[in-house]
Amino acid sequence: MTTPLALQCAHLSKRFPGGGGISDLSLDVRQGEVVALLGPSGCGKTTTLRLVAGFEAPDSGAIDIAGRPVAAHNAFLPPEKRKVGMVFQDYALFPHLTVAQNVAFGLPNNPRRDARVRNVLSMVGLLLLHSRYPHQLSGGEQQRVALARALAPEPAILLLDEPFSNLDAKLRQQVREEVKEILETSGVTAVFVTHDQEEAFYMGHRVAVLNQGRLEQAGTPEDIYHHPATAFVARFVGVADFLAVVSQSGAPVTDAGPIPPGNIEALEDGLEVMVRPDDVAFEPSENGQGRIISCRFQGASTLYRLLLDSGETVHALSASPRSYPAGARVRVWLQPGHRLVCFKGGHAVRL
Amino acid sequence: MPPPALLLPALLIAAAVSLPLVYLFIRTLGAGDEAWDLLFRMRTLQILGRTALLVFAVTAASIALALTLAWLTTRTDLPLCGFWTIIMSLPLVIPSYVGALLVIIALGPHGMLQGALENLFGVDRLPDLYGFPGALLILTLLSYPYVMLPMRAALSQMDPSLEEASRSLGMSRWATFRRVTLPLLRPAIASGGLLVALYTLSDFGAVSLMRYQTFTWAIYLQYESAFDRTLAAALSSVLVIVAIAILLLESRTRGKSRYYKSSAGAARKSTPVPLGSWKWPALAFCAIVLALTLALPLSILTYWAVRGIATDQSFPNLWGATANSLKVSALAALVVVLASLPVAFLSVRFPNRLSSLLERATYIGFGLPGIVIALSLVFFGAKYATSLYQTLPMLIFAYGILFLPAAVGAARVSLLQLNPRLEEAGRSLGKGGLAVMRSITLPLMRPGLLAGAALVFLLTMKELPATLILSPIGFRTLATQVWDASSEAFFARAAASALILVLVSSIPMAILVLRDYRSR
Repeated sequence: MTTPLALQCAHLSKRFPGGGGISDLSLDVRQGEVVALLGPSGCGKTTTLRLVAGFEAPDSGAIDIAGRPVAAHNAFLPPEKRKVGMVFQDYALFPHLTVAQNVAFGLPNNPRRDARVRNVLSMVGLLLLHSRYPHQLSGGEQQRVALARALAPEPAILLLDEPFSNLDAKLRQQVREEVKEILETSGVTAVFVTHDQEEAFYMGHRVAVLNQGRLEQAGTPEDIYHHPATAFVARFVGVADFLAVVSQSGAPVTDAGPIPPGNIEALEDGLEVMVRPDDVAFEPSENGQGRIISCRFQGASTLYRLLLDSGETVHALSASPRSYPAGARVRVWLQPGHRLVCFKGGHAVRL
Repeated sequence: MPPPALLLPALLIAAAVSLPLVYLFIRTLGAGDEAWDLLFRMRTLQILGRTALLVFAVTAASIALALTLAWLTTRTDLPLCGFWTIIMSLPLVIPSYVGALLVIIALGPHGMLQGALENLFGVDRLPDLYGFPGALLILTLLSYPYVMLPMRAALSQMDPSLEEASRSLGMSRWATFRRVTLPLLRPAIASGGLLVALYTLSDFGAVSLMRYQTFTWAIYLQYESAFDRTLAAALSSVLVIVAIAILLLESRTRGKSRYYKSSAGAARKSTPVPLGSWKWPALAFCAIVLALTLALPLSILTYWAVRGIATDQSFPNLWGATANSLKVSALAALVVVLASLPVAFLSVRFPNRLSSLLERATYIGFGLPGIVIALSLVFFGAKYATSLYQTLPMLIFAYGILFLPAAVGAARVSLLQLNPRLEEAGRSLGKGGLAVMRSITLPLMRPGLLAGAALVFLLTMKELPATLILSPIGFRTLATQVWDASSEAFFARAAASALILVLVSSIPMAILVLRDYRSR
């Protein structure tokens, strides 16, 4: 049995007069799934969220929430009828209401209301702060109140717009963990927007990468990282270098050395192979084919940028204790622990 | 520790503006039982009741009108939005006595509307507009910008995600407006409503010409007719207490929750509400307000002035009054802006208990009716400064007390926006305190000081009761000219003076509006 869909976006397009928007975006979200919309600023991820919430109407395309059409040709359900919970980037807590009043805002006025408010507040661990006003709370607490307020009416889907961008780096990691736990406890379906790939990978069961209004790829974090569908995705989720593949006596070779067998069966013109820094190995050698141009100490490891004699640059990761000076000549070779992905014209090809 | 060159003038100014009012209370209390007897007669209660009725009605009507206009111009796809925005603040150039003159000319017993209706349908009587209805109409149409401007600011600065949050929590557009937007507008409504209430309480022009006996008009009648001016002083003291009560009320309505954005999110405009078929009624509504507050007044004044010229009526002393108005307004602007500088500097650069006390003292004129200031100066001058009584310096001094708050406010704002590091940079480059002030501080403050001067000029141009009471014998300004001619039903004369007054006032108003528009 397949899990029913909580959200179905089909061929959504929305253009704005000043530029931006999305075109022909299709995305399905299954019930209980947490999906990250990942992309650079202006890629249309927030627009997608606002279309689902009903704050904007699509130019074309259709949206179904829990099997019910909410936006389609000639039909538009206003936001208050969609059963969508929204956590805003700046939380948008009502400054004139207390924490409890904020959480109760979307609940029908009946005897069960207070119990529900207490229930949700204790889930986010803020029961003791129920009579505070928003300005008396810390950023992380405001975030959790916003989450509680959105969850209280038991929405069909929860939308989070850059939920951690207003927190400083230290707090962000902690709040991320708390939010992940709350989402798991409540079992809610959620779509959240972020420009931080680490955050997307940590929080999302699946990640949808957007660029210039188009969906580039949707898949599990592992899929996105190891099998990017486009060069944009490959670069956006981590350091990636593309090396031209040529044939040397029938075997595929790059400027950074031969490609280990099992990766490429058939050679084509214009083929490139994508390598991550952990796929590239090097050692100091006076007669190597490149040299170190810069290094970035990252704690557990050091990231080196290598300039090959052919003119291409490639990044390589090396465990920390050893360190090499910039300018040193090195021998470079490929040492992938998995099957490499090949690209042609910016798109992944299966060979 | 502030330099004495700053402290001394500030002390003097603060003392000078508070002295007359202090003397008013001394005089009232000194009158003893007699004053109390007079005060507790029925008539005082009637005056109080009438004043309260007018203040409440005008404030409520202004808030309703302003809320509609502010919402239409900030939150909807109303066509010509920028145009309406500028136009809607312009009624501030029209003084209330000009408004009253227009109501008398257009809607009065033998006015233009009745004349037209008589020719068409033989109507020989219209409902009487004198008294409460006339005063309510005039004061509402002229004072709603005071509450519309803060409302517009609050509406356009409000974080749109607050309303979106309410929508996504299941509230309809109307429920969202009632439960989120309106509560968030409360501070703007309270502060704007307070200004309208104070404006109505202080108004002399409209109530005197509409013959509606509120405090100001009763005080003037008492002052003009009675030999003993104790009752006038006592009534003034009561009026001051009422004004202070309104000020206190406002500070209490602010409540417990603070109204600022909970965090600095991306500044985003809210999506305009599509008016759909409501577009035309909305446009018609704006057009009617525009017609009533600006288009009709200007055309009626022009019509009467031209008709007066065409029928060879005499306009005695029109140019003399214009020159006098310009003279006192320019003098007041200069004197008041200069006087505001030491106080503003002291309170911004050397904030401590004394400087904030001095700053507060200069706010005495804010919210106090012009007639009270004028009377307290009369009492004070008659006793201690007989040589100054009914001279030009005394009149300018009265304007100073009345309009110093406006100038201190403008100077403070421009000083607060000026980064003190700039002055320190000047000092570190080898310039002395005075040289820095001349070459850095004052040039950077200039736009703010100019705005303050424009505001004082505008307010002085429009001021009536103090001018009426304190002007030197035979000294006439456009304001007194309009009022006298209106009371004596010389409509062509009144219209000609009023037209010049409005046109001259629109110059400083244009400076203020353009500055406000550009800074957005």
